Amino acid sequence: MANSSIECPYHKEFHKQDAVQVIRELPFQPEKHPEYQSFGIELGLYLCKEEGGGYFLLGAIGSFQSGFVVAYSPIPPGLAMVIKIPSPAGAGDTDWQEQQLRELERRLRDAWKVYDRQLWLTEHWQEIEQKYPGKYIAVVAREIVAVGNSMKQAYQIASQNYPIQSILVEYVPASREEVQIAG
Amino acid sequence: MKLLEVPYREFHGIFLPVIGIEIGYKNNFVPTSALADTGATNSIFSAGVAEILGIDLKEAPSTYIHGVGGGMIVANFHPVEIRVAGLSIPARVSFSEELGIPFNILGHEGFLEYFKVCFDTARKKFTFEVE
Repeated sequence: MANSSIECPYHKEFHKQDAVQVIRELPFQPEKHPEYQSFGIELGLYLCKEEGGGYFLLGAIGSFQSGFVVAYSPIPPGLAMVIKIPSPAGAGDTDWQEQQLRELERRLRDAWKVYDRQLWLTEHWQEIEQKYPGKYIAVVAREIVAVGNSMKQAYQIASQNYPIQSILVEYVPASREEVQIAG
Repeated sequence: MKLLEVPYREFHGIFLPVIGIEIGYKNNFVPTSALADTGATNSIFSAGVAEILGIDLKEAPSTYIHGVGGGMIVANFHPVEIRVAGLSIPARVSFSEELGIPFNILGHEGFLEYFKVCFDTARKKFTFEVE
């Protein structure tokens, strides 16, 4: 695992072998994108020791293959969460570990969905501009599910069909003049 | 620590740093996107976002915000929570019916102040880091 590094707080690279203890590791499996798993994405909780003493838990998602984190990578690079703990004993409680890991997983999954949807929109924005100029579009995951003349209208149409889904509503500027801003 | 690297979005040939976030109030979160604007002191969102969140702007304190050219718009401040890249940020943002531009704006107070942001316009990407 010579390349198994992710960035961690305190501006150091974190190597898994530097952790005092690997608490838990899980493969991270974004829904609908099993192809990304081939990149070796992992989600983990690591007990680490600070230089000045003390411990922290690093919750991290990362690819443990070199060269994966590129400009247009669909994976948020180096996404991490730090949980400070008073002593390593705090990390010994398996229920607590599970709770922290699930919370981390939930946050990452939510962040992933937001990020993934934005990337999809950015990749398809020119096509969207041509199809829906001056309209509001409602997007669920990677799909435009409603179009309206107002934010409220697009949201209402979408929420009727996707009542429990996270719905993003975006305005599609109709012309270049609309987006020319000096500020 | 690098948190997030985001490609610029192209609007009619103009590339802009637009980021996806979640904005929430009382455990009701909605995704939205916003322009990361280093020229903005505050964050301002379309009043439609407040409506979806169930925020009653009539109850929120109002203020005037300067725009380009000296024009002023009425906006209402309200506390919310902004989530980005797994981080939660309590923030006081404003909402306005008179935004006048097609983007929500993420400004310094309550958002950019928490990050080191690098706008790499040559490469059409921007990155967020935290200390």
